[in-house]
Amino acid sequence: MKQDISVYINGKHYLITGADSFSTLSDFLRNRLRLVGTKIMCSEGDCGACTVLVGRRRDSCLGVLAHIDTNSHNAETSPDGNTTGLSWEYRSVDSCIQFMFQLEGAHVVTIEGLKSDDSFGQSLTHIQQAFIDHQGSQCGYCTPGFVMSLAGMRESNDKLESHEIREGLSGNLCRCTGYVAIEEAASDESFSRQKVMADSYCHDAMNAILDSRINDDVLIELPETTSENIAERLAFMPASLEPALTFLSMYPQATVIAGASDVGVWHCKSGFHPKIILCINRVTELQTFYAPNKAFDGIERESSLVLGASLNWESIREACREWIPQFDSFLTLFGSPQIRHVGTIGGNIVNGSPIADSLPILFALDARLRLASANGDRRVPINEFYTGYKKNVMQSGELLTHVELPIPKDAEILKLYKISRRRDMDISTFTAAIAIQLKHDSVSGFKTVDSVRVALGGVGPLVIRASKTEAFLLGREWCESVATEAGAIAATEVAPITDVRGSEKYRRTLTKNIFQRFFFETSFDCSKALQI
Amino acid sequence: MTQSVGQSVPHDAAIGHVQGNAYYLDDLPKLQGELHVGFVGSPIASGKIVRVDYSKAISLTGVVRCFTVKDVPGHNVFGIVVFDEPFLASEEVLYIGQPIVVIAAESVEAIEQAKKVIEVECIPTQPILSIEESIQHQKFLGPKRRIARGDPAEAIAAATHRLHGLFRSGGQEHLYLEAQAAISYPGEQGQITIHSSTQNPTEIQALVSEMLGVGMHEVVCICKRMGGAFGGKESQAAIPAMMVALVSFHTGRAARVLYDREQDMASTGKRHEYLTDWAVGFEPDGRLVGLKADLYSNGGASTDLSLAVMERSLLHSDNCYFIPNVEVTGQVCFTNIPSNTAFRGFGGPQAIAMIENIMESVAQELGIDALLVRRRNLYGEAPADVTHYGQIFSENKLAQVFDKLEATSNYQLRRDAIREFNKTSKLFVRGLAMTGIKFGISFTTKFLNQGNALVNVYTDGTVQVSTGATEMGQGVNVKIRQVVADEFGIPLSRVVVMATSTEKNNNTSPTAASASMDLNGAAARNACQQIRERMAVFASHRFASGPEGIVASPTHIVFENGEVLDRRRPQDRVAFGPFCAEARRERIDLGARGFFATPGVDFNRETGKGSPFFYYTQGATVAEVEIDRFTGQSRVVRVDLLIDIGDSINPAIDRGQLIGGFIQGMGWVTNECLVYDAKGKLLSNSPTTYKIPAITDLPEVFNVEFFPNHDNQQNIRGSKAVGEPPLMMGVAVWAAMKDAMGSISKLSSSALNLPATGEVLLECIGLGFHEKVSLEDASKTQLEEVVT
Repeated sequence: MKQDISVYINGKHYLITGADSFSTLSDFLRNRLRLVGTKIMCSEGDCGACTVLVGRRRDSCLGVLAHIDTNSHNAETSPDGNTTGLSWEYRSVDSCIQFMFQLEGAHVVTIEGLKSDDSFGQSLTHIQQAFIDHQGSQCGYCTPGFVMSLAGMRESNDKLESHEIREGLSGNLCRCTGYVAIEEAASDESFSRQKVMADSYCHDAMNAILDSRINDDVLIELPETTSENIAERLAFMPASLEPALTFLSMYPQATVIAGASDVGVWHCKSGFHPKIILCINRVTELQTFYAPNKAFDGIERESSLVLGASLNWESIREACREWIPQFDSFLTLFGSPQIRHVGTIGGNIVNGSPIADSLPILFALDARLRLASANGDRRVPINEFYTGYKKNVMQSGELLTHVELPIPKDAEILKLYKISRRRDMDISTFTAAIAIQLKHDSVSGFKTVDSVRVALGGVGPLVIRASKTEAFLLGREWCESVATEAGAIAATEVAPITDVRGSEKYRRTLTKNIFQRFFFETSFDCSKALQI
Repeated sequence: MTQSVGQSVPHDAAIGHVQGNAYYLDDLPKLQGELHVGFVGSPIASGKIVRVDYSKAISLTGVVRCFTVKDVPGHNVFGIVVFDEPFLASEEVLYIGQPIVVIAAESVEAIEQAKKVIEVECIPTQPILSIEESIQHQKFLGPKRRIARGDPAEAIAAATHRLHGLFRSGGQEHLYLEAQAAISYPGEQGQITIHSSTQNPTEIQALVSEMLGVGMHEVVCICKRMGGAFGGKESQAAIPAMMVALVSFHTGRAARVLYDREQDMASTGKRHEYLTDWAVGFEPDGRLVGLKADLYSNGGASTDLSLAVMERSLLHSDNCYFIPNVEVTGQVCFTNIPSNTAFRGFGGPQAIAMIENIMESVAQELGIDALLVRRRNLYGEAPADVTHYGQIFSENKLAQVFDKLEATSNYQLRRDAIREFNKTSKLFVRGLAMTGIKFGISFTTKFLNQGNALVNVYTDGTVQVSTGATEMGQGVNVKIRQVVADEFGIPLSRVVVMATSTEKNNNTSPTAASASMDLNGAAARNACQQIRERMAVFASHRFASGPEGIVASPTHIVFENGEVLDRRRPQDRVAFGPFCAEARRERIDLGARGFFATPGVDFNRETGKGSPFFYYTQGATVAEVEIDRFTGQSRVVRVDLLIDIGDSINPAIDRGQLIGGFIQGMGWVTNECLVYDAKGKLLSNSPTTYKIPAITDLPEVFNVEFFPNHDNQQNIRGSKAVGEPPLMMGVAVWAAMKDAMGSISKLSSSALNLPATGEVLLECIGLGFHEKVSLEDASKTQLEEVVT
């Protein structure tokens, strides 16, 4: 058991102890290290001004997809021939809502840590030079965040297409430039010459230090004697599931944190500073992904994806790409890249907001949740998981470990909807998932509804399955009037409220309209673009 | 060596920006003993304070002191025009979040603790929370303003067609990325230096001195840069600056405040919401014969800049159109929200949206393309070249700009294609619009149209220049550098623009009204010219040669390529650096203070007549939008911008202003939406709930061009101001939305106000009769397309 957090920042090693462990990364950078190039604007992961890169080893790190074969646990050989089989992966994150205790084994790179080939004078990297050449900055406050986001994109790209730039920078807000100059800077041909982190930092030294602790659990205790104002705090960062469950049975009141994309916001905005924390972002078992046809616990699950609860959204996208492409593309609307690099599917489910973007599809596909505790495991269908607004059936000491997600049948049409004020990087006003299977009636020549599953979010305290609507649709002829009527029925099944994101009436209208939209979308080729 | 002016050189601080070492206020290292400052604001929108108790707070570890209005040594009430804004609330509270108690503490955490235990007890009174309530109670700020020409009532009555309506445009949050911030450093004998994120250092200096009860000469205000401002730091940087000044005054320690995002959004003012009651009369060809419009703005709890904002609205209610008979009136409404304030466009956007709404409405009514209506009303030759306030609109480029953009944007072809698209598309409806701008440049308050500059030339030939202009990202510093470098014929790298400080430039105007380059650039140039004249006299003697028959003649002295020479003897030249050293040895003054006052502008606000503007920045925009018929969600398909900004001093900087301003305007008309609860509390108080455009909201096709024009030689280097005008080009996006609604139904179109959020659009769509194309028709159309 280690009692400090071992982390590299811009190539320098730090062992973090005490109150610093509970600090946000951005506070630590700015106030302790005086690395003030990381700017703070919103303190809630919405603007990206505080973007930094967090490098982790594949396999050990938060949000890095570890394709673990069920039969053998052989990690793939990394390109650099590293004997441990672990390679570094750098991802952009919002440092204002990351905690230091999440960073065991990580290498943080800030704007001050970008390195160019020129080690003398004003060394500017290609991305930075491109920003200057294309007038990508005006007031400059957002600029370090944009540069870091692009540096993160450089890790896996030599060249960025326009849509990749827009998607990749959707988590960075700029109020001055109108983004065009930034887009031009990002498209500069020099991008491919930007050094990647593997070439910027000597990872061998880091590996030597970090590998020795890779299987160690880490416990940070903050004694109550340090100060009158700071109460006793405890953060446990286990490397595997068993100690996590043991800890949870000892401290069932612990706040479980994986990516902290919610808890980080509560910390900054509502003074929520949990005393006892179980941080599960290092737990290997929770980052596994099992493709269909793989045995899982000896049970054949031919038609389900099994997703570890600590998989982040970027990894979920990768995992789903082949099996549920709609979910992959839908998830581009989920948060921002920075949020998707830390936020996890488990966090989204357990937090259980009725506007959580991931829930309608899980409801519509009848996902099952696997809960584990020191006393054993159980499976709960997601449709039976919630008992009230942000309340669920989880018992004391239980941890969500995996999500089993049945993949839609070939003949099933699945559409996911998210309506928000702004298309990207916004919280939903309304969400829906509709999966329908049609049968061609050879006698009448009509198409009828063979099976239908409808889940709606943002329309009440819980995400719901629109069961009356489903019952109405089943067996009916699939036509515009039926779709319209289905919408009218669905509108009676929901109980939306008026809030800052939209009125009750708006949400009800969306509920009603979404069926017609689904109908037209699936009945005609609407992709025909108008171009001149 | 080429001239600097006209070159697209990078922003002054670009290197610092990309490296993260261009410092904003909170990046400055903390002094030993420096205090953090926070505040507790009013819990209610309107009422009387009965008790304030911070005794528990000051007993907390780390809390140093708390202050209320009782601790203010000088004046507590201030204002730019009208003295009606308290620094700290005394008896009455006027809006939620209004500062009451200032906390000084050793740490940010201690401030958070203190906030929890400070007790403020108020007796609430009924707040006024809307323009309508303010009108009902006749509670206004300042007098009603009016500008009129002809007899609009009669003209409207006699017109073939008449329309009237109510039009509302929403407020807008600045969302500058660096929140309001200030640091104060106490000096000797009661003197104080304030570093403020402000567009108006002189005003900070004046208000701090009044608040502390000391002379202005004992206060220095410095602004190195702002992390964005957009008008939000023209007047409203004052309260945070006063807070830290108060703390330093009483504790003798440096003090720092940085508002958190919610605090900033909840307690500072925004763009004014407007409600306009309008009526027009027009002829079958679309020509407007009369306009009557009563504009009401939501001023918030104090006057601030609201009267000047309203004045600009009245002056821009014509936009690009000559309307023979006009009467526009403006009234600022009191409400219990933070005082609304300057925001890029300064009343212009609201007025332009108002008149463009009328253009679309007229087109709808007549069943013709709105572009035709706009063209038929454009300002033209005399007598159609005189504005309703009497200024002659000379150098009118509107028709040419419209012609060019209509062609390059393929307007007519796209108009036809969209008409077809809207007939057949089941899921989407599209709209197209072309709008223009004619934005008057100058402060409408005459005395503000002045600037001064300090230029220091050093003996190595390098130059420091200081002006009252503040750098908020708009690039004024690099433009001034370019101008100064050219005056001495030296490379740009030899000139530095210094932090703005009241110590170097006194009695300066705010960096506002798009005019900061015009005023301060001209003042800097004037200073350079003074120095150059002295240098030329010295140089003429230096280069004079009896044997060659060349007498000393300053007019023949040239400063170019980093050298000084006499044109008649170019072989005998000297580098600028050594020349400056020589000049100093000969006791030539190498520093000067320059001054500029815009000639010929004036406006009588009592009569509503005058020529307030030095010139107009003109341009036009074509926007195409697509709206989802079932969800109301929209996207901007294509935008074409064309703007006349004269001879650009720095085209890349100006292009950045153009695009950035347009996108900000697009945000205002689409998804930026302020939401308050029934008690006057702002709910959209963070970027999570208030959505400015993201990179993914950019138009898919975006063409940006400058209209070539060299006729503005009266202004600095033939340039034109570019800061605010592009924001109003965003109105084209809204007009396109309105056009799209028109293709659904007249009702859908007339119900559309601003902003056009998804929710608003869906509601408008719902009002209309879906022009339903039956399934059969749609499939038939598809079939036909295949056949053809």
